[in-house]
Amino acid sequence: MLQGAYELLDHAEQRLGIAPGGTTADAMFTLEDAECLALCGNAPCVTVNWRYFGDMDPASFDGLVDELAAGDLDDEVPPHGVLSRVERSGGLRAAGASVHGAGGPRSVTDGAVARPVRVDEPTPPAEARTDAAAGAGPGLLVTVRTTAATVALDGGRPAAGGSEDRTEAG
Amino acid sequence: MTVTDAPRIVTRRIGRPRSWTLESYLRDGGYDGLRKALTMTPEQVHDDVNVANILGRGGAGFEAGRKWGMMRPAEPVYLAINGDESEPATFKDHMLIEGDPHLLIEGALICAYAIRADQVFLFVRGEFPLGIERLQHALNEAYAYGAVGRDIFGSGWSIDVVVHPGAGAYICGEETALLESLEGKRGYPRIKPPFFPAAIGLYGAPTIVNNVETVANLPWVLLEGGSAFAALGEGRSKGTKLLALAGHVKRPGNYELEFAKVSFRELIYDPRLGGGIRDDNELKAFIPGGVSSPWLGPEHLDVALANEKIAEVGSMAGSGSVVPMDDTTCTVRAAWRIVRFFHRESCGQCTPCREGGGWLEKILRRIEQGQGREADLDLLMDVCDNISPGVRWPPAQTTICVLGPSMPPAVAAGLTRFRDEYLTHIRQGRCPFPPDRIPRRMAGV
Repeated sequence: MLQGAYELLDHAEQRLGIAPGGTTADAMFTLEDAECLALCGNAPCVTVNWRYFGDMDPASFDGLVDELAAGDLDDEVPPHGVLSRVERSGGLRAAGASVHGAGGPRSVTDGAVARPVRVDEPTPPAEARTDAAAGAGPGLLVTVRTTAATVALDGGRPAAGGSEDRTEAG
Repeated sequence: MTVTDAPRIVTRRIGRPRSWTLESYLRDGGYDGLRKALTMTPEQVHDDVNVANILGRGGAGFEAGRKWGMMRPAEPVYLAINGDESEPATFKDHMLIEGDPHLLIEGALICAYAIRADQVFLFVRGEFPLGIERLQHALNEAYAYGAVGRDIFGSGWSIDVVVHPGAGAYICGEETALLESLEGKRGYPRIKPPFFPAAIGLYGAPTIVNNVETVANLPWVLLEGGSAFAALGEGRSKGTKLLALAGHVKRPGNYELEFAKVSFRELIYDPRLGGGIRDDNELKAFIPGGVSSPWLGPEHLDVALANEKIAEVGSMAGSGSVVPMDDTTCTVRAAWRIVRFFHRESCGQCTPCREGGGWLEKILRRIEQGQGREADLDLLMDVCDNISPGVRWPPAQTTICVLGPSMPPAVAAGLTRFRDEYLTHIRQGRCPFPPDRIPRRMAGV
């Protein structure tokens, strides 16, 4: 409200031609209003399939919609419904038993030794796989602009161009 | 008084390239705090944390070491880390989880070691998928590295850690609702006292629930010593505090500053920090500690950012999020927006919050839309009084948790400080602040 979220929502409605809760005719966009995305430092912000885009204004919203429609952001924004692209390879399984038999400090009585487990490589899309091959570890896709927002620690909004820094990706 | 000479404890690695990877973390001395903790006994670690006197960073400000000491001796013992940050204006844990997940894991492990926990749950808000992704990936790395799992670093101590994404409810940030949620139930807060989670928590076992920022301090405390931490800050407020500055300032963002050494004026106006109010407008009021805290005015700018100092002027430091509002802000609209959030997020367990929240929201909306009556002002206070008897600070409550009593402060602050503004809305039959299209939006959204 303080930083113009309603104005942005107004613009979004006109750009997409739908009200909050509606879906465009081509089924590409559904618009919702949300309170608190925990990115107040970059308000107003937008999330697309749970990937954050901060410091939005009508112009950057239009740019975002264009890029999404053209598929330019497919690497960063996962398909709808995908929460995490990393598989759990340690800790509890659903059944409640530890796969590593740790089970707490009191359970180790037989002088067990460390048994490092393999980090299961998630299956990243082809674009990310090249980065993983470069020794960067499992290919973790990064929402580039969120990264920039994340590093905006010194109060600074990221330097001009910093928010587009694709070298962070990988 | 300088504002930047204190060391950065929890944010020192934020902003480094790929700061969320194990490789980067180890380069910066990662897991040294845990290694050091494992050479000590759990009691020694606990003592060190007691010396550091870390106040819980989630909002309530309870000493972490004291909380650990209140635990009922039993087996098993659980540790839950509260990363369900979702109060409007708060965005510090978001940054920590995404920017430095290994720090969170190391801090959680040190805490788990000190309290002899059998299992650690990292409860992360479901709306942080990138954070969940990075945290889970970091955890996988930590397992492979041997920092988590069986026989950590050859010490014979073993523990499992799991990441648990929340499902998008603000109320699950309340510690007992968080435990209910972890148990797979609806996120209803539990009645406490008599049984705090340290006595009966997750699955009936003693459980410690700590905030992300609280445990993120632990690796530094272990390495530098509790007394080094206690040397920072003043009074009860020790160490550094991550302050989330948002709203009408030129440079919003997270700032880690020495606790109790910086005033609101410095935070908002210092060119290295907030940089002043946007467009050099006048400051009208500011929210000192999350939207559930009573607002303060320009006369409180010189109050130091310390838990007890803010409490003296009748508000709270809470989660450390500061929101200045300039003189173009409509306080009715701001109060309406805050109340609407809490009403939407009310779990519905207690009547005063479930029903009162709805009434407050409707009355504020009608005032903002120019259809208010002068009797509404008393009606608002009456509803507030039913949620939080006396509408005083610290709040009394008629509800199980403090979500309900989070609503009255915004309304009461508006009515006491800006009563004329409410009356103008009612007498003129419209909101005197631009832009005029917002009331239309309010009806539709």
